[in-house]
Amino acid sequence: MKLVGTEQPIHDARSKATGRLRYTCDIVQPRQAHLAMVFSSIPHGYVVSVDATKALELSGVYGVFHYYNTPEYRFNHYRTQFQAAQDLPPEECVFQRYVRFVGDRVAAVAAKDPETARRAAALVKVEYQQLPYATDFDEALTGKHCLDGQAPIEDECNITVGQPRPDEAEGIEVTVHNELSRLHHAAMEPHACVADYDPDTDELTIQSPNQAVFGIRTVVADMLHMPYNRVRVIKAPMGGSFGGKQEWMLEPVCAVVAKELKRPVKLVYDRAASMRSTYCRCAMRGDVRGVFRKDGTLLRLDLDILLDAGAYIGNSRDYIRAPFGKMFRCYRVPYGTLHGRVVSTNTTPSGAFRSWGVAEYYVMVEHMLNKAAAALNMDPVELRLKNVLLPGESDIKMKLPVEETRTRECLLQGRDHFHWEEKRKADTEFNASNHRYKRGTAVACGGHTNTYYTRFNDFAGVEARMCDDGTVQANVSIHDHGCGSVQAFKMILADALELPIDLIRMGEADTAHTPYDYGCFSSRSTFVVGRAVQCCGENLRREIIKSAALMLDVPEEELYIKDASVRRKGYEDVALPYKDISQWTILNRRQELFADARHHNVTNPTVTGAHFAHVEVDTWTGLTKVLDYLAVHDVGQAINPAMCIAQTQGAIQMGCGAALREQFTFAPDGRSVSSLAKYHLMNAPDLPDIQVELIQDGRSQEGPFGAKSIGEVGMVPVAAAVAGAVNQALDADLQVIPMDPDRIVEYLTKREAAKCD
Amino acid sequence: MSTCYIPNTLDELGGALGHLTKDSLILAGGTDLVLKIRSKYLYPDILLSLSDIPELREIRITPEQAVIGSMSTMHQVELALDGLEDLQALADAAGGVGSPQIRNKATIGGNVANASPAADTPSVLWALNAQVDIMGPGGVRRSVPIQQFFADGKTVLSLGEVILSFTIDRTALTGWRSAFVKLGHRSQVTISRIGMAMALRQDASGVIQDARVVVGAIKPIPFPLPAAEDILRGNLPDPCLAEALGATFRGNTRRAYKEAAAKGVFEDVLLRFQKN
Amino acid sequence: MRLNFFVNDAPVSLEVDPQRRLLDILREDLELTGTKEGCSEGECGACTVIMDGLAVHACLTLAAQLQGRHVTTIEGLEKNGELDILQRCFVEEIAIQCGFCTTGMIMSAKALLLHNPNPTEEEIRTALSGNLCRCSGYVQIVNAVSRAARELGGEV
Repeated sequence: MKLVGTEQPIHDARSKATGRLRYTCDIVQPRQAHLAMVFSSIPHGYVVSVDATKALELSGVYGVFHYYNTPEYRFNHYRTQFQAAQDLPPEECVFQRYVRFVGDRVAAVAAKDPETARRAAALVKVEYQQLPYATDFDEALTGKHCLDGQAPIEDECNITVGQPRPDEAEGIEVTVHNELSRLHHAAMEPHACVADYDPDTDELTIQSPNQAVFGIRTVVADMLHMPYNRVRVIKAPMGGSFGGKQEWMLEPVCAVVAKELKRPVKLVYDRAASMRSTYCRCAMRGDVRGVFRKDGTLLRLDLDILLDAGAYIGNSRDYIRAPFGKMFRCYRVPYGTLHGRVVSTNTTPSGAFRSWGVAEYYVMVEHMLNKAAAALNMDPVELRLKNVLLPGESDIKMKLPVEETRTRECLLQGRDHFHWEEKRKADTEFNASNHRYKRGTAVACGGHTNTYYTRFNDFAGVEARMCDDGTVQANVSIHDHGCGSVQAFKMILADALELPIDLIRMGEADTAHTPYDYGCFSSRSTFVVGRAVQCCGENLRREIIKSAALMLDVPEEELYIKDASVRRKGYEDVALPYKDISQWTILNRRQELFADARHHNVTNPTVTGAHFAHVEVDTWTGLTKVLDYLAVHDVGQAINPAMCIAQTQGAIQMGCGAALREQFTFAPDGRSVSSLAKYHLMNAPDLPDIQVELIQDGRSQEGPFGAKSIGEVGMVPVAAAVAGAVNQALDADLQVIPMDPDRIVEYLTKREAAKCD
Repeated sequence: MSTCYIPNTLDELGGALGHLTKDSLILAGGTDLVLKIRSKYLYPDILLSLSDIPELREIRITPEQAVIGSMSTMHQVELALDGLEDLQALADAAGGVGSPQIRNKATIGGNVANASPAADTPSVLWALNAQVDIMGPGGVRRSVPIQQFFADGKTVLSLGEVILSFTIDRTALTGWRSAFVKLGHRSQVTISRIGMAMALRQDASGVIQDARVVVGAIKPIPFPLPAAEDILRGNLPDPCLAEALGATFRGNTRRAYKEAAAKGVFEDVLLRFQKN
Repeated sequence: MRLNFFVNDAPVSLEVDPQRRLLDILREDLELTGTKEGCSEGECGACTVIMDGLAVHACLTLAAQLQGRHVTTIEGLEKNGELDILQRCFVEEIAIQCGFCTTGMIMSAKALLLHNPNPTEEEIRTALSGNLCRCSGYVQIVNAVSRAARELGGEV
């Protein structure tokens, strides 16, 4: 291992620093038409007519496309695989006649420049027939917005895992209730897409920042009845996603309009459209019940969850079920039940968001654990130590070993490095003598996955070839979010081939050139795709040795690799550079040096972290300051530790926002917040010097170099820790997230008044 | 395309003002107007930019008065007034508007003329008894006390009028110190939910002889709070007064949050007077 | 209107609508796409450029305000193929992930160091308070700016 484990900038850092990297919004195609959207201004109803007369009068407008002048193209924006793998109904049209939320797509205007398109879109007149609508849980449950034959509960599940314990009846029961607001992903790059259609070859090319090029291909090709091999989807550099660019809103529009106009098109959403007209993290309501022995052993965990799917069901049936499995990957839960219900409302659809529901579930479970610690008179860290899974145990839902898990070590190390006991003692003293400010600490853990397995069989394919000058090109379906996957995989390949990293070229996913891949989800990139890269590197290494052995006419066992050349044991002067071997192979083996790897995994070790938060609440204004934060993560082997740390700090920034201030809300008229002026992120002055530590001796069996995932698990404990710290500071049981100033002040005012009564 | 006037002198400005119609727009810093232009798809017949008139960017401070050009950016106002005890509140307010990028473009004139209820400088100008110096078509001048400048969330500026400067009589502020604190959604880069301007005249032992408290972001226009001023007079500016002061918000806001949070803002502003 | 101004020290003369945003002039008319549009309303800072020595939002600056002004964009930082010290520090300090906030962040940092060559951590965070990053917790970004300041001051 030479590069793996070292600190490396992201592979395109220089391009980003100079501003020369072309994101989708920077792409210029000759003759391109710029698109601007017309979105529904009503929350529920029908588009009766679309009058584009005034829009078409503007000079430079190429066309206005809507339901009534295009074929009805139906699709499901959540689809990432073919129907046999993912049984999903085609819920929506590219241009809706039946609109379900303010922000739903009604029409697209194509024009010669973005400003003309924008102006023209504002001139399109839409006539609606309105229907009753619902924007929150309580309204949704009345069914006021349901059409004939629809019921308020769109989906309901009951899942049971494990066996009840015999001493459950004597256990101590703890229950909590929580309400979580919707979130906006707020990737700094708004959504964008370019597409081009060649009428002579009947080929469509789509480029966008996305997490699944093969998924887009399936959706678009099916929708347009085109063969898959004539729909090329390219993953463009991505300015952040956090789950927000893995469902399809822009690509179908661009595909349809490019085909209609037979010219390149470009659609760039502004922040308002990215917020309102793509999808968000769901609102959730939950009741969690834990039953404990007096010594703190958790006997049983029951979750009752209500999820708001928004206007389209999309991924919600999966999203309510999937996080339940993660309840068995951090703590020892002998018996767990989930009762889940999905409702729809006339709001921005909810969809994928970093950790896919696990952060939400852990907010509630950690809340329950904190309440249990108080009821059991146990230190919160001790309670978790009592219940975390240890090496040798199993995830009883997936029925897989957790393998070398280090959750216990994360807690112990974190408690020590965070000075948990001292902070708690200091806070008690501070709070006793301080009228206005109150401080609190909390701990939270979380577990996640490294692969789709066992939900689906997971796999990845990689190809690598050596050029005739000894440099290497690899074909891998990478969907780098800006999180460093390309760099990590280059490091893995470079180490396998003992080649300097700048002699390796690795692009990203392109359906025309790279192997079929599910996409960047489920934190599977490093564990599955990265492992395939490692295997491919080893295979190419073997091919190099094979050629060298033939060149030297010696047995392969006598050869080894050093400094990008093949050496012979015992013969100091024998050194065949890769370039020579590559050229010899072409001339003599009549092939280039090439290797591929097809890897599938049969394990899914648990991956966890322990987070510690220290906050100070201004009880007079309700503003909360995050004073200190430490996250300790069990990562197996960090391929690029600096990026793991940076990513986790980003997850912490996001989770602090979720806990304290971010809420994507809807007014009674169905209009959402659509501006960063009203959706407040954590900015530089808001955050402390966030500490992240990595534990790297709990190697996984199948990850490259024993690596496990980090991208989503980093998000899981954050809001739980910060919310827990606020409750600790206030000696409260606040249930609504975010714990924004208004809610804190309202609670304290009521509590004060109750004292006086 | 709109016609664009970019006058370079006050005379040219006077001439340009005469051409403005109700469909014309006056561009100061642009941080408010550009958002309006985009969201409402405005296409003014005339766009008048004030950015190239040097006199409008002048800040002239003498012991007798401060004359602040309307096109002074928030950053320039903060730099020029920070440390001047009587005018400190204006430096505080300007220094807390938006982000550094916003402060480099947003102007004090634009802030006042836009008259957003959440604007930060109007309440301070009110507490400091500023005069608003106005020019109209043909260069006609008039001056209005800030307290008479706002009406129903709008201003008394009529068609073709712009703010030239703000004049603050410093001799009237002899012995006074001022400070401004805002409460927003986060510590930096936020719109105000409460903006509090306080000016105090204290005697040698620090006892408050006279006080002015003007609050912004609560009502459509800034409003003075005589009940708070009464509590302050005769006392030291002690943070322990905060809860009593906070109670004066009762009946002045329908927002329960702001009523409860007011004491926090009062304490924070009193703490600023403690520093010296 | 006929707009005459300077971009990265080069004179530019354009016939434009007086209300055309500087952001669009840069990205479309001058094909300088390093300046990004993240929110269109002066909240995210991705469009930050330096105008006459001060950091401003290109999305809130109109042509009518640009006459005779000197604008520096990210493209103007590199000199003779050599990265500006801030660019280099951002790369080396792992302060870049998705990169969309990077150019605006660097411009704000550049503007800070022009006026305050020795900023404290608090001053750096305030200078960057108008630049949002969703990928990080700002730690490496602050480190990169600190390091650039030290290197510029002659210390290493």
